[in-house]
Amino acid sequence: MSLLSPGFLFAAVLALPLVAIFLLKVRPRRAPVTAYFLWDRVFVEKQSSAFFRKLRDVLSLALLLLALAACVFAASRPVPTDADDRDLLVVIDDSVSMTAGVGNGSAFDAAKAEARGLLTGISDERRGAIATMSDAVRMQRFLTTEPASLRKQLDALEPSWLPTDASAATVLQGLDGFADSLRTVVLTDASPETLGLPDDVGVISVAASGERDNAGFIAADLQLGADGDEVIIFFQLAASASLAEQSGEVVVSRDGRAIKIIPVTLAAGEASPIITTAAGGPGVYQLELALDDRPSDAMPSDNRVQLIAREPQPIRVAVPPASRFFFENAIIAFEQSEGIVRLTPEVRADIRLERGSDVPPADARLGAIVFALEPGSRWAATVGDELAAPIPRIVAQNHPALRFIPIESLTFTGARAVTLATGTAVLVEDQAGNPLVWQRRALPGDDTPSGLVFNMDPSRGDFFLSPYFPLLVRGATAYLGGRSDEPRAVFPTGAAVALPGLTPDQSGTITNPNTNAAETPAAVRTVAFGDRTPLTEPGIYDIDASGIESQLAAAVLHRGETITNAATDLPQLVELARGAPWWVKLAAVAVLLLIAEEALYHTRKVG
Amino acid sequence: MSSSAGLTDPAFIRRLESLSLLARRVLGGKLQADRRTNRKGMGVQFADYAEYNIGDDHRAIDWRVFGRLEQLIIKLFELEEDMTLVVLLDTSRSMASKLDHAKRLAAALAYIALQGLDQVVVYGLSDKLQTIVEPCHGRAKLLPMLRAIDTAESSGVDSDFDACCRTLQARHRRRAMVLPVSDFLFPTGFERGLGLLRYSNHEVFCLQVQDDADRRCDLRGDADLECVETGQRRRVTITPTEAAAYERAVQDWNESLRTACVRAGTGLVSTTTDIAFDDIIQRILRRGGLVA
Repeated sequence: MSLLSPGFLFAAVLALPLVAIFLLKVRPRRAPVTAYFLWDRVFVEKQSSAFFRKLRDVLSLALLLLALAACVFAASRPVPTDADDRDLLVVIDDSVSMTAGVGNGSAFDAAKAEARGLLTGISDERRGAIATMSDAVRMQRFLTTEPASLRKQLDALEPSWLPTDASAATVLQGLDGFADSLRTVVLTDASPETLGLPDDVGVISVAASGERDNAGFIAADLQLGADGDEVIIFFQLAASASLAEQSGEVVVSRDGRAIKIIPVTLAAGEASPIITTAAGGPGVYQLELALDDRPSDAMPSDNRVQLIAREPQPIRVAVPPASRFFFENAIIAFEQSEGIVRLTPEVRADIRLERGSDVPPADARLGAIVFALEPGSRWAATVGDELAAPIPRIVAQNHPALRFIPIESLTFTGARAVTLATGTAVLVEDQAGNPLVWQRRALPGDDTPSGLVFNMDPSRGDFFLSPYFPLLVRGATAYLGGRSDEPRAVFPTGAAVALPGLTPDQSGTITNPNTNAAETPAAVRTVAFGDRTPLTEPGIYDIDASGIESQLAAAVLHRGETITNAATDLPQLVELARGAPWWVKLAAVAVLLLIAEEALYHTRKVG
Repeated sequence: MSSSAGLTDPAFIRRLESLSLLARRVLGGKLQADRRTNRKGMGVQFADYAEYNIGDDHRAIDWRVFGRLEQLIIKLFELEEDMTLVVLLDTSRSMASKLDHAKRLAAALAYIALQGLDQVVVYGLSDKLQTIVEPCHGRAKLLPMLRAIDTAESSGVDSDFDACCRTLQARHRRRAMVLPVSDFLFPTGFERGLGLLRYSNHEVFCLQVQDDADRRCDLRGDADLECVETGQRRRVTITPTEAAAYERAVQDWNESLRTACVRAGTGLVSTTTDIAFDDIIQRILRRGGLVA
C-alpha cells in the first residue's frame, strides 16, 4: 500500500478536524479575577513555565497526529514484505518428557506459551491449526481463522504419558505436498535430528525452566520365585546427561509397605541393570527412586514403577504312556522355571499330549497336542505314506504357538501325507502343500476337541533330545491354554496389549487407573478377543475377562523420555512472526498515544 | 440593585431603623453630636470644673459651689459639634460581586449618621472620586440618600485609592469621619492613601469587604486570567501550588492592611459577603461606634 494511495490521502484530510478539535481543547478557560496584580506576583517567578506550556501543547498535538497515523496504518492491515503468509500448523510434542519441570515451568507449558504466541498472528488471511505428537500425530484443531478457538484448544491440551515415536513424524512427511500453502512447526524438547522431520518442517526447541536434570527407571520386571514366597526384581535406572554422580536408593514396597531398600549410584546415562530378590508372594509391588541430594527432579513420573506378581495358574498337562520320559521332561522343564505348565494325571488335565496311536481320552473334548500321526487318526481325514524329507514352509506367520521355534529349520521326520477334515487351519506345510502343523478348533456340535497337530515323530531323528522339543510343547500348551500372551509384570506406557484370559468369541473390559477419582470417573473400555488396547497412563489397570478379574500395570519406562535434554539454551531453529498482527500493535500504539495525550490534557485541565 | 428590592425597600429600611435604635441605646441616646470629642465648650455633657476668668460665660458659674466655698467656679461641658461622615464606597469593577453588600453597609452607616443629625456625604471610589450623595443632613434626606447609593454603578478602569484620597483631601479641609468601604485590593496599595487621610486630620475607619472569589482560588489547569478592571490577560497553568501561593498572597495583603491600620490608629473591620450587613453594623456599634 502506497502512502500516496487515496486511502492515506483521505486520512490526511482527517488531520484537519483533529487539529481544529485540538485547538479547541487547548484553548484555556477565561477567568476574570479581581486581584490580577496578586496573580502577577505569583507567576513572576514562573516565567519559564510559559515555554514548557507551549512545548506541552506542541507535544500534545504531535501525539494526536501520531495516534491518527497509527490508526490509519492499522486500518490498512500492513504486512511486512518478508512475512510468511502460509497457513500455520503448530505441532506440540505431548510426550511424557514434556512434563519435565516444576509447576507452570514445564516444557509442555513452555510449548503452549510459544504456540500461543505463534497463533496470535492468525487472521483472515492466515489460518492456524493445532496437532499433538507423541507416539502418533493427532489433530486437535483443524485450520481456522479464529484465534480464540485456537487459544481455547491450547488451554485444554494436556501432556500424555506416551513416548515420542520418530515414526509419528512420517505423518508430517505426508504434508510435503502442501508446503506452498502450509507451514508446519513442531514444538518439542527432543533433539530435531532424532525425530527425522522433513526439511521444510520447522522445529522450535522448548525446555523446562528451573530443574532440568532427571533420573528414573527405564526398565523393570518382576517374577514370582519358584517357591512362591519371594520375588525376583529387575530394574534399570538412567539419568540425564548433566547429572553429577550421586547416590540414592530404590525402595521396594508391597501393598504400600516397604519390604526392601536397595542402594544405588547414579551418573549420567544408563546405569547397569540390577537384579535382586525380595520376600513376598503374589501382589502389587512398587519401586520408587529417591536420590540423596536431589529430593525432586525434572520428571517425577519416571521415579515410580508399579509391578504385578501374579498368582501362578499353571496349565495342567497329561502325557501319553508311550515315550513318557521325554514328554514328562518337556513339561517339568517349564513347571520348575516359570510354572506355566504342570504335569498332572489325565483325569484332571486341561490339555493332553498324545501320539497319533493313542486311544482317545475319556473326555472327548480334552484339548490335545498331537505328534506321530498313524493311519486312522481322528486328527485327519486320511493319513497316508510317510513323506521323504519335507521342507517346511510357514503358512501362518507369527503364530503364538510357534513363536520361539525356528520351524523352517526343523526336519519333520516321520511326517505323513494327510488330508484334513473341515475346521482345521494349516500353520506349516511342505513344499508340496502337505500339512506339517495344523490347528483344529472345536466346533459347536462336534465331538472333536481343539488341538495342535505336529506331523512328525519326535522319537526319530533325535528330536526328543533337541532343545526345541520342550519349547514346542510349551508354546503349543500355552496357546491352547489361552496363555500365549502371558502379561508382563509391567508394561511401558503406550504399549498395546491383549486382555489376558480371553478366549475366542469372548470380550472383556479394562478400567484405567483412577488417578483423579474425585473429579472424573476412570475410563472403562471394552475389548474383544484379539484386540489390543493401549495403556496410555501409568498405574494399575483392572481387567474383567468374562468374569475372570485380573490386573495390568503400566509405567513410564522409556529411555528417550527419561534421559532428558539438559542443555540450558536450546537453539531456536525457525524464525516466525510471534505475537499480535501489526495492525493490532499499531492500534495499541494509537491507544497509548491517546492515553499520553489525555494525561497532558488532564494536566491542562486540573493542573 | 433595583430600587424595589434595593436600599429603599421597606423591609431594608425597617432593618436600618432597628440599627438606628440600637445606635441610640449604645451611644447614649443623644441624637445630636453623638460623637464625643476631647474639645471642651458648650454642650450638655458635663466635663470638668475650672476657675472663673474674666470673659467666661456667667451662665456656667456653679453657684452652689460659690455658696459653699465663696469661689467662682465654672462648669465645663464637652463640646458637642456636628460631624461629617464621608463614605468612600468602592465602585470599581473589582467590587462588582460585592457592591450590593458594600452598598448596604454604607447605607446603614449613613442612615445612622443622618438619624444622628450628622452631615453625610457619599463618594464613589474608583479611578477617580465621584460624588454619589452630596453633603446633606437631617432625616428628610434619608430616602434621597438611600436612592442615590442604590443607583450607584460600577465604573472606572483601574481603581486609584491614592488619587481619590488626594481629591478628598482637597474637597474636605474640615475634619471629618472618613469611612472607606472597599476590598482594598488596590494595585498601587493603600498605605499612601490612608496616610493622606490621617494627615488631613480625618478620623478614618476602614471597612474591608471581600468574598470567597477574592480569598480562595478554585481554578485549576490552563486559564486565561483577565483583570476585571484593566482587561489585562495572562495565560497560565494553575496547579495546586500556584493556587496556594495566590491564597497566601491574599492573606499577606490583608495582613498588611491590618498592620497599617493598627500603626495609624485607624479602625478596621474585615468582612465577607456571606455575613449579613446588619450583623456587621451591630458589631461596629457594640465596640463603640467608629472610634478606632
